[in-house]
Amino acid sequence: MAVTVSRFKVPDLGVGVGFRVPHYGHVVDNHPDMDWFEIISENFMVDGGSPLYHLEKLNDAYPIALHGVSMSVGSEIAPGYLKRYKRLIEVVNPPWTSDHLCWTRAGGIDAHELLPLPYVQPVLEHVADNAKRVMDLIGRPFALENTSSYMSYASSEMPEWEFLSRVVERADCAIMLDVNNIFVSAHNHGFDAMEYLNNIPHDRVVQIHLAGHMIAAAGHRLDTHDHPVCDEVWELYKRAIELCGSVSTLVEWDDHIPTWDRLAGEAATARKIRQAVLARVEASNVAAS
Amino acid sequence: MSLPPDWQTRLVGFLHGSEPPDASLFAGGKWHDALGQIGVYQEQYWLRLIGAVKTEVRGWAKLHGDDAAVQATIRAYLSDCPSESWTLDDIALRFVGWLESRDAPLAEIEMARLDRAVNLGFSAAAGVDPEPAELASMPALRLQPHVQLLRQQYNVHSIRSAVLSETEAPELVQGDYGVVVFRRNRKMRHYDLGGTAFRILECVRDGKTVPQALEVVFSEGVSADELQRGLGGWFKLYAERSWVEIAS
Repeated sequence: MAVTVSRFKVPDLGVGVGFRVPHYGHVVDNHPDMDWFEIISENFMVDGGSPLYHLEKLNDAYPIALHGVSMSVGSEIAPGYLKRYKRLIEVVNPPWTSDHLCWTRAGGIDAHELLPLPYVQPVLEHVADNAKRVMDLIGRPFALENTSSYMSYASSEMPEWEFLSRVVERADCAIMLDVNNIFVSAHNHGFDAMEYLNNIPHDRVVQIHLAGHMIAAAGHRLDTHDHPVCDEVWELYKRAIELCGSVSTLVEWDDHIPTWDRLAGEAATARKIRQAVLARVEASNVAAS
Repeated sequence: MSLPPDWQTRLVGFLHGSEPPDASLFAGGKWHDALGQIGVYQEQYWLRLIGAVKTEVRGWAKLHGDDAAVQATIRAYLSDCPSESWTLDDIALRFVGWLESRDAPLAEIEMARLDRAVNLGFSAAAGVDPEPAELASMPALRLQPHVQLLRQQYNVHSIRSAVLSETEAPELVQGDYGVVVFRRNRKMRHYDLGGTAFRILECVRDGKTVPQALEVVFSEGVSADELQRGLGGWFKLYAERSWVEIAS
């Protein structure tokens, strides 16, 4: 029986990985051990063919959550997007869905980039309104993910964690906490990752993302999802579990995708860390009571 | 500083290169100054989009030339036709029209058209396969959603097949090719059907009933004898390869 966590009472699915093309066949044919999968929503917002064939088989065998990259809650949601999104949700029936706290399009042009937002009140209100609209449509928790970023706006009036916290409180929506993104952005912008982690509403976190990244020649870190999770991110993950509890965790690996065994090994590491932290927290709670 | 009302369209313009970046919008930081920060995104933007188009036009790229030439042409295309869709599947949506507007070689245009048909068919809906016997009564038909018909003047379908299978590509030659682009077992295929069998499918695509299609090919000089001999086999092929479905 899955334990529910967070104020949204969503199930704890355990530790999963992203469902990616090189592993489609192995996963749907052999059903390897894995707690759950996340799919990139847009890859399956289609009418048929290989994506929907594999999705149907995946959905029969594993829990699935949806994660989008193109909703653009920070600007204009593209015409037709939400109709296809809702259709996919009706097929999969995920416990929650998520997308990024960012924008990707403006003036009818799509940049296909997770562009950061200026942390100012009017933008905060706009994002919260869009998130509410999405939740009304889908009828289940919708989570916003903190992105990694490489630029900051001169107009910003608050730190990112405050912006994120105020958006989700205003919209009454959930958080998809990407621990790697916190680490990458902390390095790029010079803030304290632990301060970020400590200052968000933990009871709104319904899922945690883990991923690897690279260091560019110029010195900044790029969120490439093409490396193993680094030691510093594992440390942040431990703290995130301490603060958020038994929240579903997902390992993302999107480029230079390794063998299934290597990917499953990364998830196993996350599972081991998570279990150890939860056991320690439980033991200290028992001792305190 | 306050945020200008059009900051998002301007920023997309910076990325795309249609507007010079305004450093005053950005704060800069330890690793990059304000312009350097937007430069990181600009580099990612072009890498991602050029890569996405290249994936969609693999056949065209083979005909067009070396990688530098391919990248330069794709960049010019994206400059003229920035993405308007949330899905990267549509990134090459206007590529054929753009090539036509630039008087590109016909073989390249035909290859790009074939690439696009393959992309469209890959995730299109499946139709309902008719039983071959159902076709005997000549019901109203239509093409299944994943099927497209291309009448080509070059053997680009043969070259594309060689590119994908990483075998030696044949020479580019002219001819009259009637190519059916379709999906089978979740993989896209293209098949040079040609002849009367292809012409009948074209008529079905254009909304004609089977008797009307037969009238068309008959009026175009196909003999009653050829029709008599070929018809059963052609319709069996249409059904077996999931090219047609019964129009409701």
